Amino acid sequence: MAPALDGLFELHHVAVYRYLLRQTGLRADAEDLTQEVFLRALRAIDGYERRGRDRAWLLSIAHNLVVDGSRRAQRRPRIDAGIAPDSLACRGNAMLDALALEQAMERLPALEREALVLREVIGLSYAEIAEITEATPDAVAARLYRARSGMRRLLDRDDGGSSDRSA
Amino acid sequence: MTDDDLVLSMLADGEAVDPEALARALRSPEAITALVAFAGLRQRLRSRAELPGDGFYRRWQERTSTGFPTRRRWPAAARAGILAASLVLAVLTGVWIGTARRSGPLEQGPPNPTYVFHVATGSHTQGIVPDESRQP
Repeated sequence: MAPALDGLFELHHVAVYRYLLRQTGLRADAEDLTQEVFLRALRAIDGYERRGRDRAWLLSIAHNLVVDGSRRAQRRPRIDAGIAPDSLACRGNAMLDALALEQAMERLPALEREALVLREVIGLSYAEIAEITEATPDAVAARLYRARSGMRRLLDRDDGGSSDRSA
Repeated sequence: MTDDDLVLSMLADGEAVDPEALARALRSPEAITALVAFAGLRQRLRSRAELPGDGFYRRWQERTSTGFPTRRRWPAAARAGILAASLVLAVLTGVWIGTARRSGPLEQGPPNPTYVFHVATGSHTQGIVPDESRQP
């Protein structure tokens, strides 16, 4: 059993971590929850029929953890979220770009942000996102479009604001 | 949100779209701008190389090196216990039934009669004819 979990961990822990980081906004929480996902997977692995959908299965567990996590309601501002040490080493515009992206993501409604992360960061199909979030593919399509439109609007506004300030 | 915009978003994701709806959407002057914006957002989001910190891997290593905590052992142990208890109960019940049959009321025979009927042959329409052969 443990070797199977080791394989799943090696293949998918980064995707699970990135999803949880975007959802929780905190690196420490994302790390704790990522380990919890794999421990829960271990408990459920006997009843799981592997059909090449390991990643979607693990992300479903992660989604349920986020939904159940009441502590998310009292999380710190997401402005510090996801700024990895390697990102901190970035210089100038790259750092500002990362911050702007984080701020824009923070302002999206939770369902839209989740769909965007699962699609653009993790690379899942509409069907997989629908399965994980317990929504229809049509609803996923609508959420993704609204998320993209929202991000475009927010990032354009930030860019405009930056330009105004620098002018 | 318009249907045209939605079709372009789905196209950017590689999902199946209606060709006629796509043709209609692409006629819009905003279509190229929207597609370029979608591609730009994707590039920005995917360029982030977020990885867990070293502490994450250290903790995971510690957890896995001491064995995985699992709850699967408890149901298995419970099932084995219930099975064993059922077997013992079945054996004890069989022994008890066997003992009861050997030493119960059946071994003592039927009870003694307290009332004896004598049934006479003949016509029953004229009443009971005494059986003289049975007279002392």
